[in-house]
Amino acid sequence: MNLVFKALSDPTRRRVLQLLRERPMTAGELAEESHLSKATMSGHFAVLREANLVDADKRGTTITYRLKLSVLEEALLEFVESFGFELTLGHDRRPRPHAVGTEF
Amino acid sequence: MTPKSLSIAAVFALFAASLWGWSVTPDQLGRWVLKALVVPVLWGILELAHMKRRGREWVAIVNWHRLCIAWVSLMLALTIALHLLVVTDVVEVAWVPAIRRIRGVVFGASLMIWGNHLPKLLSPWASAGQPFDWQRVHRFVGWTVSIGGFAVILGWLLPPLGEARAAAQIIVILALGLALGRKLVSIASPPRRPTTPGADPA
Repeated sequence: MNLVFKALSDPTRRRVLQLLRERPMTAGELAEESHLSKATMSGHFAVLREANLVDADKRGTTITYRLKLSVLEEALLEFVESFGFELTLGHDRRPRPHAVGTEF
Repeated sequence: MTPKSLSIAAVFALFAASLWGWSVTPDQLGRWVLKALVVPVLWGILELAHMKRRGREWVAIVNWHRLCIAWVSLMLALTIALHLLVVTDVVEVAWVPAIRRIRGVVFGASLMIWGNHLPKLLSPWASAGQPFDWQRVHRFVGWTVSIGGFAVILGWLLPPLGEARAAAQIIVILALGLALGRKLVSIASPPRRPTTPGADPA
């Protein structure tokens, strides 16, 4: 369970899980959506795999990630998103963190 | 203990409980034959259907089915055993209401555990060839059954015993009906959007 908490503590990893809710995505697509380098994303993917929250399917040079959230883990994700920090996209489409409750 | 050996052991336990029941009430042969054979036949059908399955996703699904069979067998065997212990006066009749509530709570907890784990199962088909939206259906079913299991626990703990069983049965039927309905709708409907991920640039 500690691994799950660690995985959910980072907003980038939570964003990855939210994207994977829609459909399976490749590592490249996830990196593009998150506006981070592939090297940075590799570290996040490793944490998510270690917590057994995603499945990595490697075919050739392509790694496709699929969501593997239990009901409890999904509820935790929603809880952390509601009461934790959220990522928003600025006008230049770069992610900026902000604390919930500071919007006017 | 592997899921396969656990399912075999559980099916044998159910068979043994049914034999015991037949020995206690030999005039109800048909009832005990039904209890003894329904789950083993279902188990046999599943094992035959899964004989040629390969791939890690299918292995996980097959083991999941085996654990479901084991769970159903053990719950039935336990129910039969408790009933026979009361019939043979080993357990006093006064304990029956408490035993029923405990059994109901255990059943509800089992549903919660089952529903919680269900979304962890991965689709055995490639994204483009799925007959239905596996991820959405299993998430919906998992949530429905988990919440239904919690409601079953409350249903067995809170109302008077006479109403508890009816309440629990209604909740289970509603939850499983919703889950089955969602799956049927998903099979009948085309996918909402393409599920094939783009190729990762080298």
